[in-house]
Amino acid sequence: MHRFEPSSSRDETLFRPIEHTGPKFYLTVGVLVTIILFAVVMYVRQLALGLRVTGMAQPVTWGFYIVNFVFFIGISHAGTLISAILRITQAEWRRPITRMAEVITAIVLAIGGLHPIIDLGRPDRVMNVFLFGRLQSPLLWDVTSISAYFAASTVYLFLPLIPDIALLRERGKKHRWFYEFLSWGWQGTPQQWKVLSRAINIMMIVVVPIAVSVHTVISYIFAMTLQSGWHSTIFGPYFVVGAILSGIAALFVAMIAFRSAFGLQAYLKLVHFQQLAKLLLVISILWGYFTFCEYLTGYYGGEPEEMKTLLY
Amino acid sequence: MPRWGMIIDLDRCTGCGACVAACKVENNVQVVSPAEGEKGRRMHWLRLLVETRGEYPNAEFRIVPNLCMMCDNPPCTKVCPVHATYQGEDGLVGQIYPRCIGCRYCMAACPFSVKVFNWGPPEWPDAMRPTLNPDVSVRQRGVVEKCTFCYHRLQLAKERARAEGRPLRESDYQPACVHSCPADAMTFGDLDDPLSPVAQLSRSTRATRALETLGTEPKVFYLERRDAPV
Amino acid sequence: MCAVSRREFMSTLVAAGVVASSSGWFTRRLLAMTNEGTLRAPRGPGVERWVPTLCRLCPAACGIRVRLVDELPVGLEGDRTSPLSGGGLCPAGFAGLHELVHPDRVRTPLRREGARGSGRWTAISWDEALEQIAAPLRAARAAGRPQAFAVLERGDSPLTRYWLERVLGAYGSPNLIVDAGSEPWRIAWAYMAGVARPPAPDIANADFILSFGHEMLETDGHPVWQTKNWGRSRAPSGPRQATAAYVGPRMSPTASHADLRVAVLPGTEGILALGLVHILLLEDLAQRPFLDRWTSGFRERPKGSNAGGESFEAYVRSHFGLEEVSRLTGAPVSEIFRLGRAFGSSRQPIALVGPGALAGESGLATAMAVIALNLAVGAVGRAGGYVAAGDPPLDLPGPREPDATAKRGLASARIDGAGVATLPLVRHSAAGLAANLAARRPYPLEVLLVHGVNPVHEWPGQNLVEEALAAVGLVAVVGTVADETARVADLILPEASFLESWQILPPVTGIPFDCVGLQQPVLEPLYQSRAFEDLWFDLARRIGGPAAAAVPAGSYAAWLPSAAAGLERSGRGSISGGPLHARIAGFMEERGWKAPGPQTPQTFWDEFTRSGSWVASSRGEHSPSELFGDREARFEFWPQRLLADAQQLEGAPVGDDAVYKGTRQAAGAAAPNERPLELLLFDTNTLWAGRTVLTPVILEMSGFREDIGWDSWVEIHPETARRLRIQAGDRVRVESATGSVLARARIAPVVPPGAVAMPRGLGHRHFGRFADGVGVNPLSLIPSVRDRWTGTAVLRTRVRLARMQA
Ligand SMILES: Nc1nc2c(c(=O)[nH]1)N[C@H]1C(S)=C(S)[C@@H](COP(=O)(O)OP(=O)(O)OC[C@H]3O[C@@H](n4cnc5c(=O)[nH]c(N)nc54)[C@H](O)[C@@H]3O)O[C@H]1N2
Ligand SMILES: Nc1nc2c(c(=O)[nH]1)N[C@H]1C(S)=C(S)[C@@H](COP(=O)(O)OP(=O)(O)OC[C@H]3O[C@@H](n4cnc5c(=O)[nH]c(N)nc54)[C@H](O)[C@@H]3O)O[C@H]1N2
Ligand code: SF4
Ligand code: SF4
Ligand code: SF4
Ligand code: SF4
Ligand code: SF4
Ligand SMILES: [Mo]
Repeated sequence: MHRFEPSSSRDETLFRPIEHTGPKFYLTVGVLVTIILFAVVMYVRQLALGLRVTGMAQPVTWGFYIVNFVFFIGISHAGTLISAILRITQAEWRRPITRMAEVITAIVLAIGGLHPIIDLGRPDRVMNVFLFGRLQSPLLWDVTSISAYFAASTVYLFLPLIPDIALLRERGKKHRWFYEFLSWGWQGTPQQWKVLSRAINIMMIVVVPIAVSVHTVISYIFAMTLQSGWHSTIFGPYFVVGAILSGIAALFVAMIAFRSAFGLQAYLKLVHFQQLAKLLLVISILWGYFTFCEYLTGYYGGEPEEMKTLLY
Repeated sequence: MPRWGMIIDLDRCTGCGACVAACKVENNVQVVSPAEGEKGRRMHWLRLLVETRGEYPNAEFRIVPNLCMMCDNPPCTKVCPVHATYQGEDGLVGQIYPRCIGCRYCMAACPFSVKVFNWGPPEWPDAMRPTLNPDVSVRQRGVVEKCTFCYHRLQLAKERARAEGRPLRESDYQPACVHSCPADAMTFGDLDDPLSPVAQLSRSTRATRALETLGTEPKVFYLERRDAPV
Repeated sequence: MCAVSRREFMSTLVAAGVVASSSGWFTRRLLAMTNEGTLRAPRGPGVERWVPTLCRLCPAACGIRVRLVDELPVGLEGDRTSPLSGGGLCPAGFAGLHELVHPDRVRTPLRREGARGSGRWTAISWDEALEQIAAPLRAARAAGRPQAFAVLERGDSPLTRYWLERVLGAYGSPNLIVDAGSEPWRIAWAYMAGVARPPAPDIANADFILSFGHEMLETDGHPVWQTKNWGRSRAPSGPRQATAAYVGPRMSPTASHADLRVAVLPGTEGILALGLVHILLLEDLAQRPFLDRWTSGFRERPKGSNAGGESFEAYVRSHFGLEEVSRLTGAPVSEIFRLGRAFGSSRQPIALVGPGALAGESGLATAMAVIALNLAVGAVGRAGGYVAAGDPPLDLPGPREPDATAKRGLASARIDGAGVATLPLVRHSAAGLAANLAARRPYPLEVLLVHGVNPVHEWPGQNLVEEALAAVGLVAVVGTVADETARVADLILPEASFLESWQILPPVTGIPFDCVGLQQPVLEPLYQSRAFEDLWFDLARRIGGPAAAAVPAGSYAAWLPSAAAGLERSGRGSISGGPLHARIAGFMEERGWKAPGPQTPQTFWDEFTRSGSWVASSRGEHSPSELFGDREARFEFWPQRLLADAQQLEGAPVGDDAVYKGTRQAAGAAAPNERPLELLLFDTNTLWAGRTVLTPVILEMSGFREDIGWDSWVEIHPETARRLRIQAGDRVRVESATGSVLARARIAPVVPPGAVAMPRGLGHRHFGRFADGVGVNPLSLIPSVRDRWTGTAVLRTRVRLARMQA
């Protein structure tokens, strides 16, 4: 276990991007903010002109937004689930990865969760989901499990962060009040360490079923309808595996990006990539197997409706 | 409580489209601009599904008027997160427009693809605005709508019956499309009344329902086309 | 380091975001969004009233009931008590209210400013407008040229026509030109039976309905009544009461619903009909007793008609051998046999022909051949055959003796050449009008009043039409929405829509019983519009003299009850309470009972306005003699009069083939290689050929079965499409000798490989904001060609297709 101690000089690489901001930072933020502003403008336009601006129509009534929703929620499995699995299996090589994975989860989940709201014809009435919510609707299952997942993974992200925030507080360079607040009086006493690791252990167990439920439930949105091609029992596990697959892939991308952007070669080593790649391979095979099961049953039965979706 | 249902005799239907226009006008269904329509956003609560079969000169149009089947076991209401589409106590599946959040889940869930969405704000060509039916609410943008079996007519019929102090009769209530049909291909009434024409026709050997195997129990029955006698 | 601290940078961004998202516009938008569309017309106490009246969007005039809430029309439905439509309507009918409130209705009389067609108008008063027409008319009559006044009229309403004829007669002009489609059919009956009005097919009692291009379920006759009968004949229980068969080149919706279809080359229906007669002869299925008693020329040719001619029987046997018929029509012999046998062995078969089949060069021959086929099975003057009908006993003022000026005017040749350049029995030749006007032949026209007709858009040879109008001194157009013809007129007069005016309408031709419908206003005329008849009365009064004396004092609405009084006085029929009522009343009447009806003319009128229709009982028994009245006559297979008239017109004796095969004048028959495809035109029951004021609901449904809205299309056989590499939905250029249009390809086996078909009705340039620029007008592809015998336009041409690069 970590002991609480002032940072070593080796970790300076890690602190640098937090304490020093250069032109690159402003450039990146500037570009992103421009994109965000553009998106806001487009959204306002959508509010003004209606959902027709999306190009959706009959019979394609769900398009980009819902696809994105599924995609981002899928990616969100990068984090918490993977890190929880790795923690549970005590894969020690995980350490440099988990934080990154957990951050991806929290952020991407927020992005994903926003999509159905953007997709609503009447976002002004989104509160109806709580005022008149029907728990019989898979959409409500979704709302429930995504909020739970978001809460859990934020906590799960935050708990292991506490000692590190305390480090920043101790260095006392910038925004001390901020770190002081967030570090919750962390002093690194053995009692604190004990409580923290307990909490993390509880969360990592809790988060796994929630994560599985999230993606299962997303698949239910489709599988609970009577549409051929959707109405299928394999959809739950299929989506979960798909989500993990895309999650790991997203993690790869993030690792590569961060490694080169912040010079983390010392932390993200070849071994991490290798280990993760093995995981990716296993999940790919599983996913391929599910795909095979799904399509073969559809094809072999040769139901006309199924064939239509298959050949589409 | 009557179980309102409809029979459409495909042997009689000529595909004239009167029902399509009647429904559109009766229910204030918006007319989208030509460009929007081109993109597949035309709105009709009742459409004719047309299949052209055969070779010249024996090309045949098989025409099936397609409207809400008023499923007894509707897959669309189950999935609505906010109870904006629901099955009323008289078995009719309705929409609550002011509550709908526009998630379009019910559209995805309806196996008959009869629901339509207001992709943009209601477009009322000036020629239609003053003549909108005051009994039917005008839908706003971003909500889903569909055939209601002209529910407003049922309400009016009930009020009238109550005012006259008598029970509601089958003949008091008839949807606009049924009334309009020049071929009398559509019959409407109480499926639970064994003597009513709909109940009798629904037991005909020609009677079928769309996608029956899905078990949604539609209350719209089709009588299949008969083969030519010559 | 940068000058801005990170904190400042961040707060600026946040502030920008907040400003952007909470800007007033944004919030307003959101708020507006929650409200929009819930707004409705301000509502009063919600008092509901229903007015029975008629849909006048087409000649069928279905009974409708208009729903008024707080005196605003908000809906309409079919009137169940209408003896014709029985509650049914066609799709166009539902858009009836939209014409009433069309935003581009003409609001005041308009006078042209600047050159014709410049589109600049000044609003003037009715007085000024009517005076502008009346002044030249007074002058023309004073100058002894009353024939320089012509009225081009749609002619849906016999009463309107009566008043037009009456005033024109008193004034002295023979030039009422009615743009009616079925002149060939009318003349054929006139020659073969000597009747003024073609009899009506009693399809309700027929057990085999053979249609030669008669779009029974779409546009021809009374489509709603016909569809009602169709539905009845296919009642869900029991066997079918009638078999339907269709002969024609295009597999229309009616064809597709028929039990039997025979494809023929365009314009060869008459030949097929005579082929069927041949089969009746071969199979001994012809109704010999009927033919012997009621016809002449079947077994032997009467003396005097074309020397040396064969009897009809011999003519058919020698000229319509089945191989020959098959070669000419393109239909296989086996199919012809099957159809002939089925037709001939039915108990009460009947054959109908539609204007589509009569629109070719051989229109008269086709009409005669179809009548001959009906005669061969005795389908005249019997239940389920052609019966006399359609003349309800309205009370009209008696004829007036024209004065000397009028007599001279009336004796001059008609401006459209009808009866002079054509067979003498032809009464109207709209197609001749354009050519004559343009050539200022036989005399120049000073005033042309156009009502309900849009020649600039509807008639083939559009350049010629515009040239023709330019040659007229004053063109005045009456209408609800200004159309292409109004645009090139000198005066536009706002007409009240059918929902704002009164009329009494006998049924459209083709209804085998007598009835009338009452059209009554649901609200006062909007703007300054006026009923056409009132305008006409006023104009007559302004012209003065005999014209003024020919019209009653007061308004048209005030006169109508006296016309209706004739219905009551006739002692026949009763005010309709519905189709069942009509049947019961008829049943009783036949047995000498008369349901007690209203007692006085006033109570009769009151009940009439409440019900909306009057119906006479149908005759129980029919006899061919009912067509002839008191005359002792027979149906002539070789009409003496036709042979004489044709000989005079041609300047030489005509052969038998000219009568029954027609004189192919070969319009565009040249260069079949360059333009390999025949163009067929068709109508749909939504566009109604573009004759209804086109409103959005209908434009959206323009091709509702083809999943096409707001557009024109061209129907192409799959083989043709494959050859030309055209795919469904492609833009295709359709080129004829006179023009070219772009339309969307619809690939379906509904036309033969040698033809394509296009719907009429779209392609307006000036017809209100909705219709303008929607689709194309295939009539621009058709050259102005007239059939010499009948004076009708030949709506045929050959085209080629080219796919447009996407
Ligand atoms: N509502 C409404 N109804 C109307 C009218 C109206 O103004 N409004 N107008 C009335 C008038 S004036 C007319 S003329 C009619 C128009 O009605 P129709 O003359 O019946 O015209 P279409 O409906 O176009 O039908 C023509 C059919 O004939 C086919 N056709 C083309 N060439 C030939 C041929 O050589 N032989 C045969 N057998 N078929 C051919 C076409 O493909 C098409 O199927 O409608 C009448 N009905
Ligand atoms: N494009 C096209 N051209 C055609 C045909 C076609 O179907 N389509 N059909 C051909 C045939 S068969 C015929 S008979 C002729 C007919 O051709 P026309 O008789 O010229 O018929 P439309 O142009 O349809 O109608 C003329 C005008 O009458 C207006 N109108 C409608 N109702 C009324 C009314 O009650 N009062 C007045 N004042 N105006 C009214 C319409 O809005 C339109 O502007 O056209 C021929 N040419
Ligand atoms: S109105 Fe009747 S005949 Fe016409 S399309 Fe509808 S169901 Fe068929
Ligand atoms: S047809 Fe579709 S919309 Fe109608 S009740 Fe059934 S599932 Fe619902
Ligand atoms: S679109 Fe409206 S009615 Fe349909 S499921 Fe969503 S909230 Fe319910
Ligand atoms: S029942 Fe009423 S709402 Fe439904 S299709 Fe018919 S007219 Fe439209
Ligand atoms: S057929 Fe259609 S357009 Fe013609 S009168 Fe009837 S409802 Fe009106
Ligand atoms: Mo016509």
